[in-house]
Amino acid sequence: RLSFQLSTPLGRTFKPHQQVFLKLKHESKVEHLFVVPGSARQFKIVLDFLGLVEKFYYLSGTYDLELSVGDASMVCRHIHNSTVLFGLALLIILCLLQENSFLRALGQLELDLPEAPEKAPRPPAQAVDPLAKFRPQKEIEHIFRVPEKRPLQEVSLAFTGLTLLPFIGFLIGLMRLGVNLKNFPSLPGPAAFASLFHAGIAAVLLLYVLFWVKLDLFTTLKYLSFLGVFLVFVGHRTLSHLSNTTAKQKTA
Amino acid sequence: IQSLTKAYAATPTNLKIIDLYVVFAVATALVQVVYMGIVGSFPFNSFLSGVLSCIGTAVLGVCLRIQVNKDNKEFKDLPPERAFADFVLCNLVLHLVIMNFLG
Repeated sequence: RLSFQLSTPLGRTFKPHQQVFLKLKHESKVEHLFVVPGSARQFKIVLDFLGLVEKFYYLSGTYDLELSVGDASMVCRHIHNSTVLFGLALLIILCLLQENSFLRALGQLELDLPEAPEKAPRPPAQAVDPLAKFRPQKEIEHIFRVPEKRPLQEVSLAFTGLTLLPFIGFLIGLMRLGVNLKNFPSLPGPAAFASLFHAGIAAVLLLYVLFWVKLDLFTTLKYLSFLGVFLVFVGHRTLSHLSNTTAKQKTA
Repeated sequence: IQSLTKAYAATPTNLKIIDLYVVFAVATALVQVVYMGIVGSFPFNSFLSGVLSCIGTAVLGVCLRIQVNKDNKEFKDLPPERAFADFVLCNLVLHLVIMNFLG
């Protein structure tokens, strides 16, 4: 049971218009707010803890009591210390003329509440300090991605050899078909172009290998453009010469 | 079957060479697929690149064959050297893309 009385410096008691709160704050920051009803002279609140035990979410421990009085016309310049006797308390607060409402810590209270039954409501989750996200956070351990399972070295090498097998078969097949190089031009002029054509293609393929091993795409494209232009000229000369000879062979 | 082999032997040597090339390109692709089936497709882009290169050259070989074949009416006026030049060019572009994708 807690009751108190407010008085102005002029000696008259007055009543802030429904802005008197008694706040009980548990150590884990769960708060309860009670409005204190009051008549003209006195504010009185009866806290029946046994009945309120469920409302308190069965949290035992130390509670802080705070009294908060607010009114537009109320001002505080000077606050007396006062003692609180639980059970019969008479609190006299003197306020002088300033434009403040006040929040006053009254002391601490030990509450030993019974155990929570199964279905008691949980206390509401406390609001996280909004500035907490700007302070150093919990450290995150970086886990590198577990590398995937690779096949054994021997298996890979075996299959590389196996891949080349069709190519060898291709060469063998060519020989068996009797492929020839008869059409290679014998005159020195066109022969040079023809060999340059083959050399050009080989150079492009070599460039691709280099690209895979070392270069990046931009330098590759640059070199490729040079080689490509060169190859176009040479190839054109070679192939047109070839087509001319075949046309001559056909007509002749 | 016998008539098929006989007819096939009659095709010009040029076309036989191209056919041989196509067959071996596809065979290489098959080897790659088998390899992937065994070890799982970890570097999937490499697998794709290899298989696609084989199939790409196979397709280009087929195109060349169509264009060079004298029996085809559509490409009658196309000189075979031009077809070959196309073949070379497309192969080069294909291989550039493949090397890029190989990673």
